[in-house]
Amino acid sequence: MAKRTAGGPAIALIVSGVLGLLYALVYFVWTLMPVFWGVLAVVANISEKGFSSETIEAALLFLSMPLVQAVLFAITVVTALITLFAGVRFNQWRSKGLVWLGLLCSTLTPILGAVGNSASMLNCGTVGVGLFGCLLGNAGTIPVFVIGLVASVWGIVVLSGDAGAHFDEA
Amino acid sequence: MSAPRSPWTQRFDRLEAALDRFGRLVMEWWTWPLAMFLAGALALTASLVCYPVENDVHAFGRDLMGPCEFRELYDQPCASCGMTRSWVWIARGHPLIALRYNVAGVLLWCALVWGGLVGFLRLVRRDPTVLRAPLVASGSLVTGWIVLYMIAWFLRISGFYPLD
Repeated sequence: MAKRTAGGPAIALIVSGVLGLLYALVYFVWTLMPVFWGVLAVVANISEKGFSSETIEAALLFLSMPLVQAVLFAITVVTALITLFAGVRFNQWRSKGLVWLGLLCSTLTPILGAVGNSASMLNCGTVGVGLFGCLLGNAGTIPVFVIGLVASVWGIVVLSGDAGAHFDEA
Repeated sequence: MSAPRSPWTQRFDRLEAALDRFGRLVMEWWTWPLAMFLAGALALTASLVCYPVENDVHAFGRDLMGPCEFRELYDQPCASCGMTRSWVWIARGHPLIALRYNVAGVLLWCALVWGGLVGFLRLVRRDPTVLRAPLVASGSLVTGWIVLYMIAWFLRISGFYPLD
């Protein structure tokens, strides 16, 4: 008997995971830039004025948004990897729990990215990219979100149906 | 006889098993109703703990609304401008004032509180199908909210800003 594969929804999940990783790659640049400028500003400030409560407060202010963005970037990479892995297992009709997690992550990745965009927009302003440049740079969220949402809904419909009951059968 | 598995493969298998267990926990019938209930309770508590003082929002005697960094950088309101104030006013039964601050904020608050109520009912009755909306309706609500949020922002950027 031919081995069962999920086909469409699994492929959608794999595509969503790959797009999520590509998105994370672009997002890495958006994260690196403000972190670099933030650290530079802190070093310049401290070397000019020395260590004091004022410079530490300024350092926290400079680095708060880049740090939020860096943490969101790390989570985005993890959720994209889980989505990709879940897509592979979905196609093999294995690890139902992992597949559910992947279906959640495929939507969560661009949402986290969108939240990170708020931080990114503030950082862009700090480095002088401007509002239009920020909107353009962060526009990649929309296709990743749409494909992630389609993969999630498609997968949930398949798993909630009769076919879902035959998961993890050898 | 199969070949012995390498330590890396074993680690990978353990990771997969852990993710699978976590995923199965997420699939339990009570997880989503509990998450809905907690989100609704959090939204309601936050909007009642905070209170309006003129055009600001205070909590525990402190002003929560510092100058908006986005507005200072671009001289434009950000997409979520007025969101906190819309929650604070809608929780106190002033929908018209709340709508003026942020239409999408009011819709989000209503959806969260309604979701919290539904989650509570599902937990109490131990039935995840209580008041279940069709998938199309839930999807339309989420999509509609995103569209509304963006339209309201673009209107504000293009000059229609009722708060000024």
